[in-house]
Amino acid sequence: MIRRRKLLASFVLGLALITAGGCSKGQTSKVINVAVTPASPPNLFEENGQTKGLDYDLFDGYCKARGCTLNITAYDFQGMLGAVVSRKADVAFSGISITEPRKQVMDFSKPYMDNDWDLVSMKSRNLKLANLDTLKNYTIGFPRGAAYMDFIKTKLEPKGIYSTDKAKLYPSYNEALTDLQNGQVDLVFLDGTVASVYRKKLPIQDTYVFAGIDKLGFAFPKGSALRVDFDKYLDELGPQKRQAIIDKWMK
Amino acid sequence: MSFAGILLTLLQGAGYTLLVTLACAATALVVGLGIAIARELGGAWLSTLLSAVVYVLRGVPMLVLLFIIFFGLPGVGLDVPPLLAMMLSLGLISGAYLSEVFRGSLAAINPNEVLAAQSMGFSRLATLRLIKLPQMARFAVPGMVNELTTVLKFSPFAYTVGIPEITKQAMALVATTMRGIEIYAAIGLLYFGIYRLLLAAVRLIEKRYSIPGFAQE
Repeated sequence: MIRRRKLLASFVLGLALITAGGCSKGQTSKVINVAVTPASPPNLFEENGQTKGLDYDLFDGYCKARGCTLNITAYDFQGMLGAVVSRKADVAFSGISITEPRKQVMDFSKPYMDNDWDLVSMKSRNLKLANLDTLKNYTIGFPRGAAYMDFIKTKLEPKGIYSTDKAKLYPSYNEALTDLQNGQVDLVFLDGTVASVYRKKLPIQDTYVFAGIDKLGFAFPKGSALRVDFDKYLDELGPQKRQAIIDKWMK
Repeated sequence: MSFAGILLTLLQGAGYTLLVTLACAATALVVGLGIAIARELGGAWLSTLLSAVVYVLRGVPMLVLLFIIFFGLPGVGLDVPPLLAMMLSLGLISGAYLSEVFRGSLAAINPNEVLAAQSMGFSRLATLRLIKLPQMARFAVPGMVNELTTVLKFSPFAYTVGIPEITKQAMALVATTMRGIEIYAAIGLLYFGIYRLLLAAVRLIEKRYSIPGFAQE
């Protein structure tokens, strides 16, 4: 009986330690809690258990320059943004678009790259749109929480080009692209960076490109001092070195 | 990457899936048992209050409660760690369901046995501890196994609050390989394996405490 009680006590103690310590705020001021979604190559993904990507290289460079370490936690896209808003994370990055609604609840770094938005379809359908007149005839899929919804709502819906209720939402690009291959959705919205990766892996093509309408940034909680320092680092890094990091992942 | 390689990669998250499942199931058991006992021993007002709590918890979507606890509470200064958030959402909701399983099991006990205990001078607490709870636990096994399975199947929500369980490993793997069908099939196999493991553990406990001829399926 005593052994059984000791076993139970060890389990409860272990659980308490995990519950209190797991994935919480940093133990020292030098630890930066990072929220990512590892389903956004080349900006952020995992390979052999290692976090990699364009965004990771940029922020890792900052941390090396400032002598801090990263405590990375992976969420789905919405959870990643929620972690920043609720201040559970000090920064979030995984190809996050800077949008007005997001700026109301979080701060963004200076834009680190311009981005296109691609509407892709299966090559076998040979779907090409010269303009947006017939866009309403097709279903569009994209990840839940992505900036495309706001774009449709504020830019396309008022002009009668497309309506939000026709959009299909998925947990991540993975499911949207799987559904595209299954023929359940006609088009999928992809970040230009993400599209450059998936075009090599899947038989997809650009059906329409919204060029130069998007800028990517690192997301911080409102009033974050870290954001100010990271912006300084981006200035120190300079456009050439920053472009070299971007080119390394885009080629 | 071979199918075995996919399984091995996903296995990295299996420990977290088990941890979340066991932690939430333990919370559910404590909450369910607590509610069932309080309903038995408390007065009418406590029973009504607990019935209202169970009614609300059974009606709240699990993901909504999880988001309120994990992302909402920091807004009022309460920072809840991910595993605790899972225990307070999935564990509480599952506890509410379990309390109903226990209520049904308590109702199945032969009232003559309770009457006999009372006529022997047993207190309400002693009647509950010595007559009702031992029988209730045995009657409730099928319902408890059902609820444990539900907890396991809801554990992927842990990914939304940053716990790197099986689904997280799968999302990361699909993003780089785009081999969705194989990876989702591997997830199914892993969950089935964990389910069989948990079921075997429950059966062992059930066998250890079984009374020949009592509450046999």
